[in-house]
Amino acid sequence: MTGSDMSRPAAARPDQRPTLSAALEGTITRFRRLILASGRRHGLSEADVDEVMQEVRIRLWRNRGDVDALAGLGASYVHRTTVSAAIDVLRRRRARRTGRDATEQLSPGLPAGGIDPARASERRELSARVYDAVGRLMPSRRPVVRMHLAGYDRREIARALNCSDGKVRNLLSRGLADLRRLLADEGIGPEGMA
Amino acid sequence: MTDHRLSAEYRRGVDAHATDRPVPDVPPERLEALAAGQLPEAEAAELMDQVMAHAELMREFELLRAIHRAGAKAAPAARWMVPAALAAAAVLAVVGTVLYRGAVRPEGPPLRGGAVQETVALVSPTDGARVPRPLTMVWRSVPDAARYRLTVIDQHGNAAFTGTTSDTTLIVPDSALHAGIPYRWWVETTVPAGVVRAAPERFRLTP
Repeated sequence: MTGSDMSRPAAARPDQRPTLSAALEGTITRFRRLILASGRRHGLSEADVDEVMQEVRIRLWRNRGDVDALAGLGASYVHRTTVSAAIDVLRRRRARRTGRDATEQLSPGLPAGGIDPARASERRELSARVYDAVGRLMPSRRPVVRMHLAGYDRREIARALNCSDGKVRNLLSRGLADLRRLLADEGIGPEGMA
Repeated sequence: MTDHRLSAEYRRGVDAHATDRPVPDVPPERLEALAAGQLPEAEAAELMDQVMAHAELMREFELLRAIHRAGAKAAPAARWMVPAALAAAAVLAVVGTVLYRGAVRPEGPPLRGGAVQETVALVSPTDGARVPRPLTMVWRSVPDAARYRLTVIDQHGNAAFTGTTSDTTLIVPDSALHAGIPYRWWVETTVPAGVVRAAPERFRLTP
């Protein structure tokens, strides 16, 4: 545990544990459920959400004088606090990752066990070629295709890219056709590699 | 190859690249703007191209996107209260101006515990809201503030409307803003301790 972790209110004894108003705690719990429901289809990690919501509780507790007054703003206030907390969580995580990466570079990678090496190699090559082929698509079509292949539907893509559903449909249809053509040129058809 | 298979292979490719390629340095704030749908189309497309090619950025983007979706879904629960609050604020403002001339000013609940107010608390429109005309902006009063300056900017950062008032509510003329355009707004004021400014919030007008 880091020094800053130790100073967190959550580490206090049960009889000293900070509490938020029931209404605010209810809003946080509801907000957490909504986040998980929104991200479940895209593999959002529950641990990530819990880390952010814990940060939200700490912030609200530290500012509880204001929070009691602002509790009436409810979901909007919690939303803004959550966005700000998430940005800080990501920043801290990146700092940790930089340190870890430096350590990992010292250790050679170990081969995966329990999988037929020839089959594993073929699968790796296929996925690498699909990934590389996507990278060769026209820049205007590429982000739409990437989002689609990552599991986002047209509406989600349009919302994130600030464009119309019709434009997404058009770019996606052409982009996927281009991708299949590029793969076919490399001998990759409906059944995979020839 | 089916979409499903392409998708599975692509995701495996992204995961495989997570171990042998450095993650591009995309500031979390920029990722958040992308997740909130706030970036202009060309900028959003360019950034999304980077994000969806790296497993770690995808994970971070999804966390922020889900938070924004949750915020949008949570808003309707309070939506019925907003018109009521707006109506009450507007009535108070009109009554206060006409009958009591500066004696009555609509104020939010006081801050307890002697807390220092470091910002202007924006009340309505709430962040990310889609609101009908007439557009009434409402915020909380700041102790010792005599006048407030309200600013609305469009998606390109151009000022779409500015106004000053001694009140905590201001009605934006219908002709000043257009439906469907993402705007940001904030309020600032000067108090003896210095300038106090709200964090900008987003809204759109409904047609």
